[in-house]
Amino acid sequence: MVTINSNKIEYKNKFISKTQKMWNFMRRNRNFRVADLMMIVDDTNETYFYSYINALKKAKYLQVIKNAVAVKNREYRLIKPTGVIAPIFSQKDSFVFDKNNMAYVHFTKKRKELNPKYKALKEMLDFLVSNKKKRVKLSELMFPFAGETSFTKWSKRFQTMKLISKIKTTDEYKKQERWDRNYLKEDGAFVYRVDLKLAIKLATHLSNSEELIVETYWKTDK
Amino acid sequence: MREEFIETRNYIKLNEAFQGLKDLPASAPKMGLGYGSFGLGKTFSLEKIAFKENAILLRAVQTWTKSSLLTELCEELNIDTQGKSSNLYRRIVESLLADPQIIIVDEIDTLLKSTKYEVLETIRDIHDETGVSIFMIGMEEANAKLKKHRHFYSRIVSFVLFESISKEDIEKLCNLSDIEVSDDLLRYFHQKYPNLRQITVLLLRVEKYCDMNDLESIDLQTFKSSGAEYGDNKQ
Repeated sequence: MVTINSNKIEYKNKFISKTQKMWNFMRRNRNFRVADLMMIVDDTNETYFYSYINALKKAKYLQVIKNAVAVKNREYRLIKPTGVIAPIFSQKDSFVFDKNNMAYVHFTKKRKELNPKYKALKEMLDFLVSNKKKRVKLSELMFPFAGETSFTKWSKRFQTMKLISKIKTTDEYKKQERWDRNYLKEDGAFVYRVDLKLAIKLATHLSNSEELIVETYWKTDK
Repeated sequence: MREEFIETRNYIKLNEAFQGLKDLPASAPKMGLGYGSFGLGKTFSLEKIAFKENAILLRAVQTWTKSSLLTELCEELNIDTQGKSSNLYRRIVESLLADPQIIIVDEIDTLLKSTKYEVLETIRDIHDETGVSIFMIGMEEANAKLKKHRHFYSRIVSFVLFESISKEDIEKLCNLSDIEVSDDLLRYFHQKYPNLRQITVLLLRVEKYCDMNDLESIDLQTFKSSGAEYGDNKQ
């Protein structure tokens, strides 16, 4: 009697995410039509498709080859095939994170103008950068915020993100008395040291309308 | 017209072949070959199966060498692509032994030349050492050309010949359309147009014509008089 070895090769049934399925198709077919993608990956709803494609487009992974009114008829080209792992995205926080090259792309809706909330901040940063100020008093920073009651809030934020910091005195005699005497004063007001590098960085973010990134500097978990 | 994947006769045959290969014991050879003319849905069927089986789908190109095949496989398996070919080969074998995956090679015709002999041999080595199923897809001549490599051909246990589109396939496609297509027009499509790509275009034109003329169904006579067969410019 002939016996057959019934040892089969077990192909694992791995869980593959929706984004991974779409990414695999895009990598194999660099130029693709959305309807074709939807035909192959048929277990995902349309809204999810569109949001993933939109996120990749905004993060400059996809390029439009042929535009059409119906999304299904649009054609795209994958211009950044970074690797096997599909980039993840968040529509709410508008970012794409790519594990292949550990790149984080943040995209915001392009505004014609900067959010008015940050206009005063931008003006103040420009003042610091253009005058190359290394030491300032708070009263010098206040001018763009004239008419606003929130300067105290802003001054606290500047200190949280270490844009400005108080300067310690070396006077031993003064240290023994009141705490505020430990820090440098001029004409009765504190003098602050300015982190110019950070100021330049923040000013660049604001000129690119990347307010959300600027916010992360003071929204730190403590 | 709705756009959906149609399970054609060829797709069903291909799917069955894959399941057959998966059911073979580990010690048996598990290579498959699909061949047929263009426009019969080979590549699209493969995409669907690769997606379903989580297989590695590679498209052979004229510039493939032994090392480029190994690098591409490493990339697909998400393992290190640095080093000599022998190192890459070892890593691939280890990876496939630990986590077996079906490998599909499309456009195998490009490797059926005397200059690409070593690439075929590498594929055979991977198959022999790991025991994973390898499926190849090519044009009509692929079967005859592979016969020359006798030791390679002996490992192919599953053959799928892609046949011309059947009437049932055309019927499935026409069912996706918004209009009703009569039997005589179905027969005409079957006789005159051998692939689904052309019929899709014709159906889209017919839909436009019916929309303009308030028609809900179409037969052969209306189809011929509509001019949809030759587009807008030819009559």
